[in-house]
Amino acid sequence: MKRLDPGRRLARDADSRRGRGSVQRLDGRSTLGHCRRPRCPALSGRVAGIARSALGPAWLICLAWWSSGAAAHEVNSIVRQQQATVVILTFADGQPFGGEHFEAGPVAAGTPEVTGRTDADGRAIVLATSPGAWRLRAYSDDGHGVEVRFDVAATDQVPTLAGATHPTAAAPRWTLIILGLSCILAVFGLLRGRRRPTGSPTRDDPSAGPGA
Amino acid sequence: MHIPDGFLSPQTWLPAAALAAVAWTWAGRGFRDQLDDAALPRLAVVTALAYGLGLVMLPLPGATSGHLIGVPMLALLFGVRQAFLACSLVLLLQSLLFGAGGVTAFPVNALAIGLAGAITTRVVFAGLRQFNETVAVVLAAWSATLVAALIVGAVLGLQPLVAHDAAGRPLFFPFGWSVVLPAILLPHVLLGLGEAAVTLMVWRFARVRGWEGAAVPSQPAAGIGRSAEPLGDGR
Repeated sequence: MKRLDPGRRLARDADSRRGRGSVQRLDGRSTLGHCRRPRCPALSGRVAGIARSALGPAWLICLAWWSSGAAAHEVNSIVRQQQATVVILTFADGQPFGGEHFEAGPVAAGTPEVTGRTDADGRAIVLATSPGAWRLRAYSDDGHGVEVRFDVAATDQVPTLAGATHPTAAAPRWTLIILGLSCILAVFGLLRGRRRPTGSPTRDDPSAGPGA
Repeated sequence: MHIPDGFLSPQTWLPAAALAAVAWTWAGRGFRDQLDDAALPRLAVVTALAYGLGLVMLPLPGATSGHLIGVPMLALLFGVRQAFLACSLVLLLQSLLFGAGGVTAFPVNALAIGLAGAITTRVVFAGLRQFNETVAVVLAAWSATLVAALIVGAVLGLQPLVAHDAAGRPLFFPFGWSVVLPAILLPHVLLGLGEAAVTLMVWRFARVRGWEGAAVPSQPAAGIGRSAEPLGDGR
């Protein structure tokens, strides 16, 4: 029997059964989509494809994990009054808006009468000098902040951050997220009537079309 | 990056509202020509993605946080006009539902983030894609984030100059450019990297799937508001 070249395989193909007796040398590049060789390109390509397709979800998972420790952006407010008016400012996730500038004054006056910084619990303490509508504006250096209006001598509850509700956060955050997504889909659903059918001519290119 | 209510003087947000109205009209005019049956649902999905990304807070050094804006991927895939309109919708919803950005400041936010961000994305991408497309996408997204932040910071820092009382005390946002620009730009240098990573991911996703409705600009001039050539090979 003829000695085979090491590293290569010899096989008789179907032609041999048809009487031709030809012998084909098969290398590792099988077109069958699989082979037993350890460095099969088809198999490694499939593995690479799976790895590539897993990369996208992995990115998003990493991003979501990383974002879980972040403070939210929106600044909510609570107004409680006893002898002083205390405006409690928090981010949307409940973290206090602490150590930031605030200023407050009667709406009618236009200029602030009280200025200061919120404390570690995000409380801005205002000793109002006159009854009526007041406005408090709190802000950080990078432009985050909120403007709150309140009525002096409206309530008499002791202000605490713990257990307080957030009047400006009218609904749970996830319901607002879903509501926003629904709005987006509704807007684009309405826009379907204004879309251009695929292949139809545009204003800029009247010659374009299915037959163009 | 959204500017809240009460931070901008009327002499800022009123002209911005007029300018934004002109820009929205311009963007809406080309809407029908640029969106067909296939592109419209894709724009809806990417807009929803931008909305979701804007609500994911990312921790930043200095005990602060930030979020992505999603404009670069909208601009790269659909053009400036659609990106501007879609981003305006996202900003409006975030303002009304979450208080992230004010209603009076909405035109400024839309112009800075939606329009300037989209134009920056397309111009930078068109200028760099001939060298390396991946690098062009990354730098376009990063630049758009920084330019939007720069404009927001510039508008905020302008307030003490244009709105103050007789004693010189600011009536609205009290910090000048020397404070607000570093405070806004430095975090967005990092946020821009995240924006670039997400934009590149979405860009490749769309490219592999050959979104015919999505297009990339061949030239900066053509890139503003007009589809120029198919994104992928049609697979």
